[in-house]
Amino acid sequence: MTPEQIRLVTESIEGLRPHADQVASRFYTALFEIVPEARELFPDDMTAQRAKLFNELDEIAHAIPDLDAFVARATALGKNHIGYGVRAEHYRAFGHALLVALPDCIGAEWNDALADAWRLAYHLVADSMQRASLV
Amino acid sequence: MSTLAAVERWPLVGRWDELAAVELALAGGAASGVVIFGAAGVGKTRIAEEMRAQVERTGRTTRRAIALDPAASTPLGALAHLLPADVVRGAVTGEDASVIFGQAFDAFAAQIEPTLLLIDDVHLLDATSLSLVAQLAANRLVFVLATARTGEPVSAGLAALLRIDGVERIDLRELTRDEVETLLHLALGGPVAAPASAALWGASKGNVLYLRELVQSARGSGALRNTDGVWTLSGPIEGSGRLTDMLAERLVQVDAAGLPVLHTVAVCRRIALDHALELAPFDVLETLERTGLLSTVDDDRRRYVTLSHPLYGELVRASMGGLAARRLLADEAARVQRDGARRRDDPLLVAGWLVAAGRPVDPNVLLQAARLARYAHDFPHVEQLARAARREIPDAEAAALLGEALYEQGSFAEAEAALSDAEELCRRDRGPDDDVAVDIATVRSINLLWGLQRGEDAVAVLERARAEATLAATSDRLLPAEAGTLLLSGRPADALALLADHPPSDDTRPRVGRAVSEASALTMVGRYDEALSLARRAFDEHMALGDVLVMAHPGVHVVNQASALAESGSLAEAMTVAESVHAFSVDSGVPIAMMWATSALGYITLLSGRIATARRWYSECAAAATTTGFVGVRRLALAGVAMCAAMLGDNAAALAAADEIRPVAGERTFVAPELWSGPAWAALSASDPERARDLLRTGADDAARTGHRTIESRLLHDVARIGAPELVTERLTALSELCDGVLVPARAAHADALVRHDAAALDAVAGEFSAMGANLYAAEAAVAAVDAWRRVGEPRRASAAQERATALIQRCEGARTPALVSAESVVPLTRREREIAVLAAEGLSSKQIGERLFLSARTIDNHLQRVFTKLGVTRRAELAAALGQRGDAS
Repeated sequence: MTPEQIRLVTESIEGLRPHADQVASRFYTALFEIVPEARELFPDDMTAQRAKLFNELDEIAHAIPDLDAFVARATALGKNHIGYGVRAEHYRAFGHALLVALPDCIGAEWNDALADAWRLAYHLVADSMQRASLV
Repeated sequence: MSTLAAVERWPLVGRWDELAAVELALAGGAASGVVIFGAAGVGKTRIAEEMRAQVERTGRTTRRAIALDPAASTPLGALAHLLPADVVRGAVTGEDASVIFGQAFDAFAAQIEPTLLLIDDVHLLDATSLSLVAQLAANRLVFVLATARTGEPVSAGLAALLRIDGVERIDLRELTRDEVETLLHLALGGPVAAPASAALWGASKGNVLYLRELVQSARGSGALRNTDGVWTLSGPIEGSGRLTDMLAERLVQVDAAGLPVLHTVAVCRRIALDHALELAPFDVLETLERTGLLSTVDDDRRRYVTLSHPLYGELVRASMGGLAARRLLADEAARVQRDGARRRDDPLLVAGWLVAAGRPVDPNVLLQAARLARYAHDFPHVEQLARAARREIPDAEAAALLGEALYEQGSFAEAEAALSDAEELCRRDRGPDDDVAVDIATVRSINLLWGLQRGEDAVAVLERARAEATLAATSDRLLPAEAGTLLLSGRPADALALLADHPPSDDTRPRVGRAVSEASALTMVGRYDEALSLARRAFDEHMALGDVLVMAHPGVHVVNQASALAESGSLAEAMTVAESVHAFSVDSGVPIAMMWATSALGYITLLSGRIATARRWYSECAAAATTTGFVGVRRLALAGVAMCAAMLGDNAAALAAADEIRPVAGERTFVAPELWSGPAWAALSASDPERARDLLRTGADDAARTGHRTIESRLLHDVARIGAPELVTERLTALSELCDGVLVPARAAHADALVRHDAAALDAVAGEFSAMGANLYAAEAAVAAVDAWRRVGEPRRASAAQERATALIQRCEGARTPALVSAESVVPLTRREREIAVLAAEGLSSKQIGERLFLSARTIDNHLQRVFTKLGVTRRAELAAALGQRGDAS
C-alpha cells in the first residue's frame, strides 16, 4: 500500500463510524449471498457479530501504519479463524462482500482510488491472517 | 565488504489455495502425491517446504531428495540416502534390481503412515529413482510432494507418475499485481510509493525470485530506499527483463574466495557442510548464504550445502569448462573416499561422479548401476555405465548391456558390434548355458531382425545358441525367441516345424512365451481351431502367472484369439473379443497392446464390410505403430487404409497410403505378403485393374512360398473379386482343403461360381458370407447372382437377388468396389462389357482401354456399342450415371 492509500482507508473508516451497523449488515447480507454455507459459521442472532465486525475493521485499519503491531494483531485474529473452520475460499468471499458493502454505504463519494486502497488493505489483512496457519 | 543487502526469508503471500489443495490431498489419505508445476522462480519449492514443515509438526516422517545431474550420477543415487543400508549395498554389489525395489518397498511399508517425500525438480530425477518413487506412490507407501519446471520436457517416467491415481498436479502461476504489492509491503516492512511498486511489478511480472533479485539489487545500489517510513525508488529499475540475466549479474559479483565452493556445489548438486568448509572459510560461506546464493538443508541428521535456486546451478555450470567440472567432481569424490565413504549413499554418488569425471571406477559398481538403470528402462544411462564398465573389464554382461542400450536407442550397427563382442566374451568366460548367453542371443537376434532387418542372420544367431546349449532348460528358453524370429521374418511354416520338433516345456513361463508365436503362426497357415484353443489356454496361464508384464502383454493372446476367429469366419465372436482387448489396452495405456487391438479391429470390420469404420481403425493402428516404432505393423495398417480408401472411392488417399508401403518381391518381414493388397487396391482405384491383379498375384506367390495360406486365400479371392476368378479358382479350392473354418471354403466357392456364372451357386455363397457377417463379400456375390439369373432368363430370381444385394450394400458404409458397380443397373452386362464400361465412364479413350486390356480399339468400340444399347445411353458422358456410379468416381 502507498501512504496515500493507507490514509484513504483510515479516513473512510472514520466517516463510516456513525453507520457501523449498516456497514456490517450490508457486509453479511452480501457474504451469505456469495457463500450461503458460511451462514452456519455464525450465530442466529447477528447483533453482537455486527458490532464485532466493525470494531475489528476499525482497529486493524488503524494498525496498518505500524506494521509490526498490525501483523501481530492479524496473526492472532487468523489463529482464531482457523478454529472457526475458515478456509482460503472464505477469505476470498469476505473480500468480495466487503467491496460490495463499502460502496453501498459510502455512496457517491466511492471512487476507484478508494476501491484500490480497500482492496489492497484487505489483501494485507487476509494474507497476514492466513499466514497464521504456517506458524 | 559486500554491497549486497541482507536477505531474509520473505513471507509467503497469495498461495493459500495451493496450500489448501496440498493439505487436502495429504489429509484425505486417498491421495498419493502432488506435483507442483511452475516456471523457474515462481515459488514452487517454497510451497513444498512450507507443507513439509507443517507435516513435520504433526510428527510424521518427511524426507527430501534432490535430483542429481543425470550425467554425473548413478541410478538410485538421488534416493540412496533414503533407503535402508542393505538396499543400498544391494544396489552397489549386484543384487537383482527387482529384489532391490522389493526391499525398498518393505522399508517404506514398515512406516506407520506414508512418509512425505519432497523431491525438488522431479523432472530432472533419473529414470530409475523416478520409477521407484512412482511405484511407492502408487502403493501409497510414500506421499510424493514434488516440484517440476514447466516448459521442460515431461519424461515418460514423470508422465507415469502423473498418471497414478491419486497423484495430483497443481499449476503455480505468477503472483497477481495485488499480491506483489502486498508482498512488497510485508517484505520491506512498510508502505511502498506507487511509482516504486508499479516499476517492480512491471519488471517482475509476478515472478517471486525475479522480484527478490530486483529488490535486492535496487537496495544494494541505493536506488530503493526508505525515506520517512516510505519505500521510494530514485532511478529506473536495473534488469533486462530476463531472470537469468539478473542471476548471472549476481554471480559475477561473487568474491573469488567463494568460487570454488560455488562451482563444486553446482556440479555435485549438494555436498556435506564439512566439505564446503574445506573449500571456503566460514565467513565466505556465510556471505554466500546471506546473499541468497547458497542454502543449507538438513536431511536425516545431516547438513548439506546446495544452491538456493537450480537456475544458479545451470548458470554456473554453463560458465565452467568441461575439464574444470570433471576435476571438481573427482576432487569431491576423493574427499568422500578419504572420509571412508561411510554414508550409505556415498558409493553410488562417488561412482556417478567418477564416471562423469572419466576416472576409473570399480567395474562391479558400474555394472550393478547399469543393471538398475536397465530395470527402469533408462537406456542412455545404461549405455554410459555399461560402456565405462566394459572399458574397465572384458565382461560379457557389460558388453551385452551396452548392446541392448544401443539397440533401444536406435544405434543398430553399433549395437551389433557390442553384442557380437558380448557373444565372444560369453563363449570364452561363461559358456552357452549362462543366463547372459541366453540374453545376448535374444537381444542380438532382435537387433538383427528389427534394427538391421537381417531376419536370416537373426535366426542363425538363435540356432547357433541353441545348438551350443548343453542343458535342455537353455534350449527351452531360446526356443520361443527362435520361433518368434522365424514368424516375424515371414516364415510361419518353418516356425511351426521347429516347435513341432520340441514339445512344450513343463515350465509355465516358456510355454506361455512360445504360445505367442505359435498361435499367430497357426492362424497364418490356416489352422484356426488349434490357434484358438492355444491362445485361450495361453491367456489363462499368463494371467495366472501374476506379473502380467513378464514378457509380452497378455492382451497379445486375446488378439491371437480374435485373428483365429475372424479367419475361420466367426466374425461376430471375433469382434467381441477384439473389442474387449481394445478396451483393456485403452484402460492400461499400453501402446503395443493398443496397436495390435486396432489392427485386429481394422481387419474384422473390413471383413464385415464396414469399410469406413475399418479405415478409421487402420488409421489409428498406423498412428499407434508410429508411436511404438513397429515399422512393419505401420505398413500393414497402411495397406488396410489403402484398401478401405480405394473401396470408398477416395483414390488420392489410397495412393498416398500405398506409396508409403512399397513392398518388395520376396521380402521376408512379418506378414509381408499381406502388404501387397495396399498397392493393389490403390492401382484399382487408379483404374488399372491389370496392375492390381499382378500385384495381388505377386503377394499370393510370396505367401504360397512361405506357407501364409490365410493371406494367400485373401489375396487370391481379391483377384476373383476384381474380375479374374478364372486365374485363382484352382488354388483357392486347394487352400480350402488345407484351412479350417468356413471363410476360406466360401472364398473358393465364390470364385468358382463367378467363373461358371452359376446363379444358384452365387446365391448360395452370398448366403454363406451373409451368415458369417461378411457383408461386402455377400453383396458382391449377390450382385453377380443378379447378372447370372438375368443371363439365364430368370428375371424374378434376379429381382430377388437384387433385393438382397441392395440390403447388403446398405450395410457396407458406402463401399463401391468394381463388383458392386452394376448393382443398381437393370441391364445385365457381361463381365468384359462392364469392365470396358467402367473404364470408359472414367474418361479413358477406346485406344487407352484397348492398350490396357490388350484388345484393339475397334473391339472396344463394338463392346461399347452393345453397352450403350443395353444401358439406353448414347454418349460416354452418360455412362457413369447409368452404371450407378457417382459423378466424382474418377
